[in-house]
Amino acid sequence: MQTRFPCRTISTKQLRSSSKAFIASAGSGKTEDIVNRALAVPASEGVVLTTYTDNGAREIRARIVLKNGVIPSNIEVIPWLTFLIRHGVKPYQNPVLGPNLVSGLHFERRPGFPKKSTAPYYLDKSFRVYRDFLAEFALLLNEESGGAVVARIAQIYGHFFFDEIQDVSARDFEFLQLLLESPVTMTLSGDPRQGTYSTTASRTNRGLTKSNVIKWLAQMEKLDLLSLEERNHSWRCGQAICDFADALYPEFADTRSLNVSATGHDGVFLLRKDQIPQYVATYSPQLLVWDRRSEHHGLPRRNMGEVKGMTFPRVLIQPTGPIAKYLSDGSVLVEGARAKFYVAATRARHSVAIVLDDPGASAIRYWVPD
Amino acid sequence: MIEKLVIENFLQFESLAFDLDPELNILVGNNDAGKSTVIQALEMVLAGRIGGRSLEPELSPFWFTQSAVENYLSGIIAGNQVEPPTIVIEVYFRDDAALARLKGKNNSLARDVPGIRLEVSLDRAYSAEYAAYISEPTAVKSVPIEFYRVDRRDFAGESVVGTRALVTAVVIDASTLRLQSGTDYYLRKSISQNLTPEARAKLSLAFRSHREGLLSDPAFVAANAQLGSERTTLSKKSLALSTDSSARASWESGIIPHLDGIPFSQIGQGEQSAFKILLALEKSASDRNVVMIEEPENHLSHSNLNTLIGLIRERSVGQQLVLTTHSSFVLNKLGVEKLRLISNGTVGVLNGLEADTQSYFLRLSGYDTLRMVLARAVILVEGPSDELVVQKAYVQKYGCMPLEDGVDVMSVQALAFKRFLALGQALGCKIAVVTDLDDDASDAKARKRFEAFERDGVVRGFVGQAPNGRTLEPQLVAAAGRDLLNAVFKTDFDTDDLLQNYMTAEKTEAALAVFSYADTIPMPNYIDEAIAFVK
Repeated sequence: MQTRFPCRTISTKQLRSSSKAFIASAGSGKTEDIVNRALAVPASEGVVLTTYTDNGAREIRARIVLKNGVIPSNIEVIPWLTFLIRHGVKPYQNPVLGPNLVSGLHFERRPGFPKKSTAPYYLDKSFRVYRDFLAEFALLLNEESGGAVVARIAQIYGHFFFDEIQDVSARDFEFLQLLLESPVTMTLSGDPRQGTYSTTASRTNRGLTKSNVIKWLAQMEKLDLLSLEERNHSWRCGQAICDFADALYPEFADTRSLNVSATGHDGVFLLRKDQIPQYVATYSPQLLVWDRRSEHHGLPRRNMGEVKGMTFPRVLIQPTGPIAKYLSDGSVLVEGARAKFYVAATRARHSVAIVLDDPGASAIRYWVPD
Repeated sequence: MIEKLVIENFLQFESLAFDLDPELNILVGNNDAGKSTVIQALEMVLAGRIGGRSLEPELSPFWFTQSAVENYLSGIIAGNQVEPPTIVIEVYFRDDAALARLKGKNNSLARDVPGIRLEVSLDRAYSAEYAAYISEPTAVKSVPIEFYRVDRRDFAGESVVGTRALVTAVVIDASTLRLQSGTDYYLRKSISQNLTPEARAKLSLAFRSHREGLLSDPAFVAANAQLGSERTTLSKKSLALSTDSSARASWESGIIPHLDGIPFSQIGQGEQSAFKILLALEKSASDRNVVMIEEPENHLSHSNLNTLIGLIRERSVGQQLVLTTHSSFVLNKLGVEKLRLISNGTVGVLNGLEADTQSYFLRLSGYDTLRMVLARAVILVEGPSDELVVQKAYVQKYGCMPLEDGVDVMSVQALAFKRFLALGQALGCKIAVVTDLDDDASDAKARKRFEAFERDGVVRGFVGQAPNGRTLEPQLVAAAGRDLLNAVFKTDFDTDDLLQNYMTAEKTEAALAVFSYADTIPMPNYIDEAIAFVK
């Protein structure tokens, strides 16, 4: 990785490194853990919790309210891109641009190839910052202001929590590294296997995104900027489900199930299409599909990419062609599909059923009605 | 606290950078110099209000500085591309960690400090409409505020509207008590700031449940039953009364403070403003509180003013106070060194006024220090008769009273010269001292009174020639001659000595006669020199 250190100062961080990163399997209670840690911070210290998706931020807020009745006044929950605009770009846009010019975020890709370090490189005509260059712009402004961007954040927030760190991409890594080098106590949490989103569409630092985020965290640990901890257990999924999901990511450690309940129908099953009505009538599973165009058998369904963080007693998965191929002959799935299928399977507490009429060489047993 | 106020194109101030004292700022200046404008600007940027009301509806073309408007209009008429004028008001706070959220460089000086910036500028959303408007230059007669917006953001670039205020501001205007009810926005705010959040919440809840209870009162129910049965509306909808449960009907507006059992609006105006001032300064108010007071001396008797000033001094510790005044008494009592002189769109401060001079004016607070502050130049004389003679000399030479030229002739005890000279020096004011010799042989004794302060073209002392006498009277006789003075006084003295004795005995009468005499009276040289020096 090509890392720049625009205004690196000697940081007390390197002596005490109170920052942490948690790599955890699905169902280990990552978000729950982050919320508990945030609520444990004394009310006199500023706390920010961030995550890439708006849904994720909503989920964090809901959990805080569930535990505490209200979001304490020292805690803020801000989606990552909003955080970058509000604290990374706006405060020090002057004198680089002028006072109060930046008006928001341009989510779509930037057209053309403007010259680097010019306004059109970062901003559209209404002064909205291109998403893909947001962190890069924040880094530039931090450099131009002599490190004031990061210093200001450190003055406001003593604690910074990032949930779903596997969504981070491009120059976000460098901005987060600056925060790790600052006096802020950072807590980064995520599951490399659930990289279903990306904060940018940029190719920069692509070798560190999604399941490879583990490499970046290891680098940060090597620099003594954080201590890395792995949590290979699942409160949610039964052992058979854990084993099935783990098989998608043989490069990661095995997950141990802490869910000891037995229902009489536990584990992973294949399901013939014509038995769907009978199966649904018996177990009422949640149907998970690829997207809105997928076959849904007239059942209420959700997209695999949008159920991160959720729990269902049982799920029924309508596989895509590549997923069916993976099941029948073990063909490797591309990164995005692998993550989504991992997320889908690990939503279930007790059972996962997959609609598949042609099992090929699959060793998974078919569901047989009693 | 506020360290700096920057104003661009607002009322009298085309461009102003004003460094505030962390504790006390006494704004003095002539009428219309801009004292109230500074308070207004602070209120606008800190509270987003003007006179306690929201900004947008109050926006007016007259907010813009005359020169900026003229440049703009003449540019439009000439067919040039001119930017419509923009008002900028910025407050820069001390770099306090608690204000880190307000920190950033979104300000005209690009300083990295916490602060708030208010901008009144053309709204980009109306660019097309504006372009159409100026396409007919002759129709453009003033700043087209219809296309303007008011934008108030902290230096981090976040809009301040709706966020919890980290810095609070209270304005008390004793010069005009605007609202009939007497309980204006700031009074309600001051009262509620003096309550704990818990007490405030409980009071609010009690007020609301009380109002809701009214709905089930038999009288209320009966009234509604009657209204409901009478079909008076055109649409035949049923009519019923209910209480206002909107935020507007909160306890702050529904409850009126009483002082010693008398409703606030019924007590005297002096008492009202004193009460508001003291309430705003209450200790429990946050230390990030800016209190602005306009002319606290209004509506108060001298002794009550004395008490009020004492309390202001005592309670303002740890808060930042900005006040305007026309009273030397207020200025002397609160500390001459804290004065900020506003004139010609600038703010002047005192440079290095010695502590003993400050405490001198503090103790002898009757002195009219403001006259010296406001004058362009000052002639210090020793008594009322000297004052009259110097004025006569000025009128007969220049054809107008000295004050019309901004020259104030001030009569001060000889011993106080030093204090006034020290004050004048700190103000950078031009001063001529006219004093008696009080000695037959030399002018050394008289010169001692001002020597130390003399500077070329700024401060100079003027005394008569020793042979012409030790006081003004013999000096006048020597210059004007006995015959002319006999005519002035309608007397018939045979010798200069008798004439001098008369003038000394009837000091004020004689001076008045000199002052009122229609024709020219030749004046002693040193007096003519003194008035020429300040002219």
